[in-house]
Amino acid sequence: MNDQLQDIYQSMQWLMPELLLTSAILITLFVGLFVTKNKHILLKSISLFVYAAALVLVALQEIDNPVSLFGNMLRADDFSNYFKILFLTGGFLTVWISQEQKEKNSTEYFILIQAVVTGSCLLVMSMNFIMVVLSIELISLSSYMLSGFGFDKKSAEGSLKYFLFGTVATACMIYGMSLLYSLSGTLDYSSETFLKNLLENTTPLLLVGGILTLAGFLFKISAVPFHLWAPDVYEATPTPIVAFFAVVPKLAGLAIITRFTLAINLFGQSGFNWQLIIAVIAAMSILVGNLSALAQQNPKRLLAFSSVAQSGFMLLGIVSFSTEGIHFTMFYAAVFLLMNFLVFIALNQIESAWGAHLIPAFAGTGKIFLIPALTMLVGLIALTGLPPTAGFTAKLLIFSSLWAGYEQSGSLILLFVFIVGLLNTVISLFFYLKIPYYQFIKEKKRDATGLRISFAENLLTILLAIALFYLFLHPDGLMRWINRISFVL
Amino acid sequence: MTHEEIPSALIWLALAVPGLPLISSLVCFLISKKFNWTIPLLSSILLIAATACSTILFFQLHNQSVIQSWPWLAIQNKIIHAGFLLDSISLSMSLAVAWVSMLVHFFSIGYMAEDRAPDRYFGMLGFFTFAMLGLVMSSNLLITFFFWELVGFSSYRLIGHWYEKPAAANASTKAFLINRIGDLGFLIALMILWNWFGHLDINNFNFSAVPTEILTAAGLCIFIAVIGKSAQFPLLHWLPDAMEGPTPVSALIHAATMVAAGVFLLVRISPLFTESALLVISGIGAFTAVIGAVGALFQYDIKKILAYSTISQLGFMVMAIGAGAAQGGYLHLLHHAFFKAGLFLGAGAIIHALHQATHHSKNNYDVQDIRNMGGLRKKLPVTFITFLIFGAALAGLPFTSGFISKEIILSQMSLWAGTDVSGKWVIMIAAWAVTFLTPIYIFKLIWFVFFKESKQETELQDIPVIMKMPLIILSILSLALLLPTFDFHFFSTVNVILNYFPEASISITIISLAVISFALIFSYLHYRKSTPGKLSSFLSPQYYLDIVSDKAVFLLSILYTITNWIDKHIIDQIIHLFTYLQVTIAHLAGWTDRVFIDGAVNGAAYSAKGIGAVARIMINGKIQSYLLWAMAALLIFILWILY
Repeated sequence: MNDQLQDIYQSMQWLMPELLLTSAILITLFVGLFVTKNKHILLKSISLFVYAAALVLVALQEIDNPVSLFGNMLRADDFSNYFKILFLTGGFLTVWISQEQKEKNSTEYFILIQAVVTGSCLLVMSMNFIMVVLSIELISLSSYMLSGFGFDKKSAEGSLKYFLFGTVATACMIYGMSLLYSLSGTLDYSSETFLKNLLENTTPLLLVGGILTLAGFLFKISAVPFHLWAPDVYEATPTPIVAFFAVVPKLAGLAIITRFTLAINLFGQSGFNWQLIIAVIAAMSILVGNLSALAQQNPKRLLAFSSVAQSGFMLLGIVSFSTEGIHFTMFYAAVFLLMNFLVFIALNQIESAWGAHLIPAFAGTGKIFLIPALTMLVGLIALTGLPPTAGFTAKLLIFSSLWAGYEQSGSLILLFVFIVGLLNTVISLFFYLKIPYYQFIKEKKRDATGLRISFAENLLTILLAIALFYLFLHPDGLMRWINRISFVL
Repeated sequence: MTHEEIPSALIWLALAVPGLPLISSLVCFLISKKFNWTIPLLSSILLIAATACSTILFFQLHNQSVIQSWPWLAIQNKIIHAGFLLDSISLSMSLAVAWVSMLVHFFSIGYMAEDRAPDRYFGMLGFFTFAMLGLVMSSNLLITFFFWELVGFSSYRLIGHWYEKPAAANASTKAFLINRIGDLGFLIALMILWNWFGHLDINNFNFSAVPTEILTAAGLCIFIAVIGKSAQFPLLHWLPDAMEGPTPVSALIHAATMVAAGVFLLVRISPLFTESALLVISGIGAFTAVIGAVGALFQYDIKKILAYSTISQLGFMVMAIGAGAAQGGYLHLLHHAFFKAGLFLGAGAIIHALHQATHHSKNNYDVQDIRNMGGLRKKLPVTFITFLIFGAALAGLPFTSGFISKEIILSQMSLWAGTDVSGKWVIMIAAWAVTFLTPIYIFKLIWFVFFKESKQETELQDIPVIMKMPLIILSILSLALLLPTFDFHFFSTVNVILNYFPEASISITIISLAVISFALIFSYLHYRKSTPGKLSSFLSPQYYLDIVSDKAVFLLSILYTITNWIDKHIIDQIIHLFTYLQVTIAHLAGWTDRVFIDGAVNGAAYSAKGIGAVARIMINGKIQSYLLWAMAALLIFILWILY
């Protein structure tokens, strides 16, 4: 008993950022209840402060060896801290760009974003299926509500679709986990028992359980075949939230997939070819995402499919099952955060100032809103994976890890996904550049005097664009940091 | 208790007992709409076969206790078995279930003759029978739990059979949601047991090895499940609402079998219950029995009266089991199954006849309100006589089955309560109060329906023979003439005689007869003159209970709305699978056409767009098809990796 209390007490010390976020939820709630004047600004500042403070707390944590918390329910390590920084940055940016909410709903808006960030932070630390389910559901349930924040029919429909789809995915995942539990006798997927019992087991049930569990994670990162919700939800949701959805829950899902596939692969001793499975999912996501994006007329739907494809690219890094590959995925994740937010912020600015929702209606906006249009171009070039942006570096690293993996193992699958990935980079050029094409080449159709976006508002996008250039020129700083991260399962 | 294996010839028989109703259910659902008229016949024939199997099994195995189980799945080295545990308890219960179900099937042929969806009705009836028999015969608590859920499901479907009536739809929701609360208790109990024993085989628990507090906790959790399923306080109000379903369904599920499953479960694992748990059980049972009986007094809807009476009687059994009269309680459960099913079918016959009459004369009034009835004695003679017998059994008059079980309960309970005044006397007093109240409300019912002057002048047609026959059979089964020989199979002969005449029995019999006659005289005097006024409903305790529970139900109904949506839009949409498949194939064909015939000309960009089109068919804005695609892809994926 005493030992347990001691363990809980000591574990708490490692959870300071999460505890801060949780208390921020409560504080936001109370402030929202009792303050009526300037509520939005006040809540926004509280949120921004909390994310910044949590970032500092995470950065201050020095972890030499992974620390197991709460009887190995959670684990604090470099890997999770890296992702936590990304989540907190994502939360910060989202709140920063959020427009004024209706007085009635602004409290919930901030609380729900905080809840998603908290859930994501817990998810990357989870070492136990129970904890995984709890964190994923914390993310999911809050996301379902957030996606309804347009408060119109379309938004409600998107929210409900998201919810229903998510419920089914969760059901699959929990079923898969229960199968794995029945085979391994433990919920702790990092434990010796899990490894030992699964090594002895080569029944198809192991495969079914693993894939069903993966299904829940694939839903979070909107990878094929669980990507179908994405376009509808993205289309119906307010743009800042879309930017948030496309990054924070997705990276959280990516992190847990990394951990889970490393565990289920049993150090390559598994009777099933998990490399093949992940490779096929990645290749399908890239293909389906890019091909479907080709004909889209709505920028948000287009970006939804693009984010499906991006998930595929990030999965490619895991496919080689090498430490190097995973490091490259983490690099990609950071770049993805920057470029995705850049595109969405610029899109949000142009959309709300210009009032257009379809790509052809963006014709001529490049001349009116020069800076947002240019920064968005940078973001889209980065998403395509062209120099001189960090998007190119990230894709290059991923492909190089794939090639290295192929040369080492001679596995044809790796070659196959390598080719698919390269081809699709070409295809993606067509749709990513569709928006700039209309913005800069086509003539504007209506008068736009008096419409402009102030420099202060443009500052953020400019900073993000500079960051993308900087990481292209000097990726070594970030890479050195990432390279210090080791995984011990 | 040691258990032998079932002789191999009998295994097939045992499988046939729940198997035939399942086949009946499948036949009903699969048969073409053109042949809908054959459904009542086919399912009745299959039920006759099932009943025959169950009867043979009963006489072949009487006084034996046999078990046959197969390993079903293994978690590590812990094996979960699925199988049959056939002893006097499960055999007699399955016999009762099969018989009542068969008779209800017969009755339904007449009652549901004009229904639009006989496939759904008889299909679910068969499915319910399968689930109920499975519940009764299972040897493993986990399997019992599965069937427990399935009977709940079929009850939900059958209450909502006329789902176009809002009241029926709401009632089915209410029943379903409230039962979930109880099921939670069951699950927790299963977890506790699994944690302590590592298995859930009913015959293999060694309760003496477990601390009393744990047993009490597990027992109370099981009892929560019983409270939900058997409509005990405080989860009792779903049962009166469930009367929105077709009357034969009420007879089968909400009087004779499913609601009795709770009581059955108490008997099935009776060693689990510690003394303190039993005290709680008897207390809640007694309270339910009294408020059920009082509730019945205040009602004027014929089915609602019977529903409250069922609550009261179930409370009576639960109380008896808690108060050391388990054998009596169980015997009462079996007897109650027959006479209460009879009462409900009788009510069904009355409603059917009146409904036909009002339908033809266009003179519309509430055909379930007993104040609108009267003088039916001459018009429905068979119903009248059988109803009298059932009513007498319910009231516990001599020469009926109800009398025997009630005497056993009362005398066993008086031994349990002892001669010193203690808290147990409160429960004993409740038992007597129920003995006093029961004749009053059933007298009221019979008086209003059959004796009073009729206010409505309608030409009544007598009910068809197919509906009379079940009434007659049930009334014979409710008489004490046959039952002793039937009962001998439950307990060993000596036991039965001892139980019929325990020490206190003679005086108890005299007192109970006095109480019942006093009640009858009282009610005769009271109802002879009184004109039925509308008693202000806030006098009844039910009124307040419903207010509280309506609040709870409201919260749960939000959840329900969503699940219902899934049910309607997804389950039903599976049928559309084929349509979607066809569309896909068509698109693929079109795609091949474009790519391989025109494609060579049009080049790579075109084909990329073509593939995109195929990928985008999936995104058509309908969530049900999204889910379908996602699941199909997952399945194909798994199969592809496997083979």
